[in-house]
Amino acid sequence: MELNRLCMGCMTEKPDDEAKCPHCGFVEGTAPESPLYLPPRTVLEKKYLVGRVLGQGGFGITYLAWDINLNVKLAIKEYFPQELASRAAGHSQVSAYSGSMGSQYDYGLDKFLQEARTLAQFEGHPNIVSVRDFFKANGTAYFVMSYVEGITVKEHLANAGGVLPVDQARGILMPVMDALKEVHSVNILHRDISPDNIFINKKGQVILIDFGAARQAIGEKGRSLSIILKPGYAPEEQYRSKGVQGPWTDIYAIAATYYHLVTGKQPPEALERLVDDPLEPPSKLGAALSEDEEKALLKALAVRADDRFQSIQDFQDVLMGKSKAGVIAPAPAVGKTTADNAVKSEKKPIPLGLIIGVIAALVIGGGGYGLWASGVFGGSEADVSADQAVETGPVVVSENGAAAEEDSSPAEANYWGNSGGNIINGGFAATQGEQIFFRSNQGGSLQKGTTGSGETRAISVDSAWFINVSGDNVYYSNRDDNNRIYRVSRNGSNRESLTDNGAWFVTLVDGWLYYLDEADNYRLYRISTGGEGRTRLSEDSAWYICIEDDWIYYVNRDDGDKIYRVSSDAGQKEKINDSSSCCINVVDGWIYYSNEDDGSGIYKMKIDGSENEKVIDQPAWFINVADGWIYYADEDDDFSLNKVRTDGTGRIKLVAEAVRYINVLDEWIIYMDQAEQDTIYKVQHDGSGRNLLESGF
Amino acid sequence: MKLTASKLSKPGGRKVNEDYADYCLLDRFGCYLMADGLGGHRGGDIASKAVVDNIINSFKASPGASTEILKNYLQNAACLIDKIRSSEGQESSLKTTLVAVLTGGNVACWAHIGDSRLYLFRSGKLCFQTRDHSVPQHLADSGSISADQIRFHEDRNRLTASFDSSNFDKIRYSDNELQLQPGDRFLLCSDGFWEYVYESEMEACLDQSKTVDSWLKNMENILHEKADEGHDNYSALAINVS
Repeated sequence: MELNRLCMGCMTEKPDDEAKCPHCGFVEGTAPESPLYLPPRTVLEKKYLVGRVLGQGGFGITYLAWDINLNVKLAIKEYFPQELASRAAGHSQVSAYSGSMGSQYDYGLDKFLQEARTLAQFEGHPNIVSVRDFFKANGTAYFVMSYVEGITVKEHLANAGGVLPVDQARGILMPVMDALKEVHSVNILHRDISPDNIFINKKGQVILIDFGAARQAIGEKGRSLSIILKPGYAPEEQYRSKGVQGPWTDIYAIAATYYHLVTGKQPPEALERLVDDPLEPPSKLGAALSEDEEKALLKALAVRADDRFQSIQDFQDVLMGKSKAGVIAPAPAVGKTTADNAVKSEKKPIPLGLIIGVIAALVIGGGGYGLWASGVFGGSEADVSADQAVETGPVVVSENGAAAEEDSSPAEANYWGNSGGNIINGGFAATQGEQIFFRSNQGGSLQKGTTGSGETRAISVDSAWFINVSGDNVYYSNRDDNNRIYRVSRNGSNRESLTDNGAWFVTLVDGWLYYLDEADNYRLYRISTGGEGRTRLSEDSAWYICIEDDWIYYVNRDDGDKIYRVSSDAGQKEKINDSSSCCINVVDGWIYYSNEDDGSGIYKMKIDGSENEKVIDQPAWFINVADGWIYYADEDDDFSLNKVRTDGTGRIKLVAEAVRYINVLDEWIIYMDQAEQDTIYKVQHDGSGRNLLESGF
Repeated sequence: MKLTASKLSKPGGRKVNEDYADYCLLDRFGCYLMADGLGGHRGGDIASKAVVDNIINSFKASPGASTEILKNYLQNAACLIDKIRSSEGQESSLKTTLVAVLTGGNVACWAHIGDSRLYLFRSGKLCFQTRDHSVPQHLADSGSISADQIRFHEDRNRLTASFDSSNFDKIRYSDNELQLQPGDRFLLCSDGFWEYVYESEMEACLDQSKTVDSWLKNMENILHEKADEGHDNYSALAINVS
């Protein structure tokens, strides 16, 4: 393929000497329609040749492109929010405007990339546009999609005279709903479904394009809503910054699309429907829907989220005649629509600076410790019960709530719920045999993966940390519910809270959960895994918990962060050292800690405080000791992830990026990437194989 | 009927003033306009000024005071905005709110879109105000929040419509031409103004002011007392009927 003969208008080869393409009429050298567009023949990443603009919206530009290596036609979407950034004519570089617009730009860029990563998971799905690659360049970001030859449903509708027969409309939308179910199962919403975001390719396959996360993100602070949502298709909760979005949000949009297809009329704008709803039943407009179907459609189009179907499956079941519209799962009691409720359910952000108070003195890059980036469901996971999550996910739940899937065989209760080193690092992942339970990048939801498998699945949408697993159950602090301890079975059923108060450093050992009680000044407590026998073990305000041989080690905040230990029956208490200490790990009779009185270097000593010696000089944070190695973030090296043997030899850098909260599993090290807004990654013990945590194990 | 008007439009705590207010009196007709350009870079100030100037020009070319005439003026202005947008490749920028009042003899009519407001005070009391095209206004209409909560609602800045041809059917007009009475006072203002100056204060200041100039001045003083550093642009245009 000679690139100079490739037409930038249609990416087909044209005769040598002709400027005008005989296939599409595009004239070589035609200036772009807008000076903001990349000029045709721009090359990105040394392999993507950019052609004409296929489309432009308020926040992005989509180009026709050519993969120079693979010789295939592509579509490349460029992040380009016009209100926040600009580009000089003829140049590639995008510059964000200064001040608050710049930070909005960055925020949107992040969401854009996040969306690309998420969509990449669905590569190969027949009904979701394929994201083949994504990258940052020119001060902005791009994602590379397969080029879909076809037309939008909006165009199809126009060609068909403005209205479609019910069967055809259903035939188009069922695959879209199937795709949405899968997307919802990993807690992603589309947020922008409408007839112009659904494509029909030449083979007649229906493909969902253009997820709306970045659009929504940049619009959060703007005054004009019309660029971030589509009136008529967007439900009322998308108009409010504190509106609680969930599967019901996409359900409204898909129902609005259905309504439009079968009646020829777009439903009235959701906010207009709050008072004296002017929506006419489809049958009145001549749509040949059965009574049940019409009921289902109107239920899915209910103004208030609570009145809608809560899962795509429920909606589909009625449309396919498997169930009756009137007897579908009742809406949950918690309101999702009133402003008041939305305010109440708003997630209280807890900076992790509070979690590790001793470390909080340290300011990393001015970024603080905002662990809890808001999830993809906005600040609202709290309202989605675990049951709903299970319904939208792939786990099949029978009527009595017992899960009908694998994992039904009882597992033996293990002695340890997680390692002490992991717990003091937030406890983002815990293992049980081949299974790994972890905090995901999707709003912190609790997910499960299996070693050697690329598959992961959600167990609970709660924002989970201090994860422990033992027997058939997973235990965690639920950040969506004031950090109370929750227990949920490994398949996602029987979720319940065990404590009234918030709990930190929850550590499960031998049938007991040890934790610091948030409401009692972080004093040490324990409660049985059955939720009984709650007892206070120490009068000291503590930080960290590390347990070995029936002793609980902690840093005493009432005594200058010195290390103490108390016996598990609270009968004995001892002071162990005289240095201000941090990040304590207790392993095989040794205590490892970062010594704040000596530049935060790593020290070790026997559990009685003897043989105290320095292991390394480097100021170390997020220490995790496992299998003879100490993993830590080196403050002198921009918080790169390093490991060193417990005898101080063999120091090696594993990850150059700034990390925090290092969790160590048998085959993986899990950490948060500071530069990427605390995205959780995993790498192998030699530093290779870096990937998102939920990419499978 | 004798009509007098006065206006103020200031950047407040911002660098750029995206508000724009102007009026024109011709023979027995008057045209009064207030527009608040929306966010974005070099879009807001262009949009508000372009719309106001264009309507004033239409008015000068063919003065009148009826809803039909006002619609014509606005249609011209909406076309202009569309033209500027397409010529600059700025599909989503260039947005503005608009409040427009036409007077002729003893009648008046109005139009508005966005969250800039028109107030009418009669016999010293507030007797009419426009309803914003905003999320909290809808919530108030549906009873989810009270009208008082609009000012402080977290979504106060989220508009459901702004001035352009695609939103043309969302523009609200006066139902009937309004019969003017001596003592009537109109106030056209941007959200940066009404955010700080409450309706009760508008009335109180009216009570203490003989002229539209002093009325605006007194209200501006109240705004200054309440406004934080970095506060929004503010504009107000007052019309007195005597």
